[in-house]
Amino acid sequence: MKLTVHKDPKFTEAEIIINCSELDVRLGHLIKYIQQYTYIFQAKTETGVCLVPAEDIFYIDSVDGKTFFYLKDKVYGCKESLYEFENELKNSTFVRISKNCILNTAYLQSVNPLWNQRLEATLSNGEKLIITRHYIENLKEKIASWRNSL
Amino acid sequence: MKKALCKHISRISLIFSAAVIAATLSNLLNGHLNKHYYYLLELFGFVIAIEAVYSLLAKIPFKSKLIYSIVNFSIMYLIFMIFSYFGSWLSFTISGFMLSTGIFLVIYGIISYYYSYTLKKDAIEINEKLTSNRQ
Repeated sequence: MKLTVHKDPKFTEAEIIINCSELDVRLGHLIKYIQQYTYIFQAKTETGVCLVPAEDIFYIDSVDGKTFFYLKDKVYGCKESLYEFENELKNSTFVRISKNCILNTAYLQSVNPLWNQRLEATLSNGEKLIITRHYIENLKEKIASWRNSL
Repeated sequence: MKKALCKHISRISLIFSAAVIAATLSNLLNGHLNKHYYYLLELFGFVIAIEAVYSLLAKIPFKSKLIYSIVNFSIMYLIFMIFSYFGSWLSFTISGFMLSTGIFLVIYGIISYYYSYTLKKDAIEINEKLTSNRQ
């Protein structure tokens, strides 16, 4: 794959153009990855606020009415509700997997069946999350949409 | 093909169930008080109760498979006994009790197997999709 970067002060906004004869799976992943760059969220830290890009978030969890971003080895709080994130991220690789959790499927390694109608999701950092029965179809559709979007 | 077949089977089952329930209700409302009509409604109530318990238990984070199995089995057995008693499905003699327990075990086994099978199938499907997406 040839990569060309044009750097010029006349460009007011960064733009990515992909020229290809055919859109394959790997290119599709790259496009999805690039698309996630459009989502940046404000997170609370001990000293103030910081910006967290969506592609760095493994999952978003809600505990006692508070929402948290879980990155590879960091956790940030934020003021938006899980529902707001679900709406905002519906065209990304994020999908709701339980009443209180939204997962970034880009970091989903595998799933295993549990005994009480739940699946256990293993993330690429080794963390495990629960997928409840109600949301299994959502997850299947989201993963299938990676391919269908090509 | 498989997906389409599953879709059709689900649709046929739904339509058939709805038609049977509607016909049963219509017959009862028109004064045909045959005990088979009551039995059909009782059976419908039993299936709804079983599904409700499965959905409810799926929301509880059980610590082990053993605890889940004991709780699940006990509640299901209780529901079956309540329906058997009030619906006079079976006679409550020792042989009747053993027969009803045997029937329950068969139904419980089939339902448990079905849920476990569909969950395993979902897991395999998701893992396959994840693998093919990575390639």
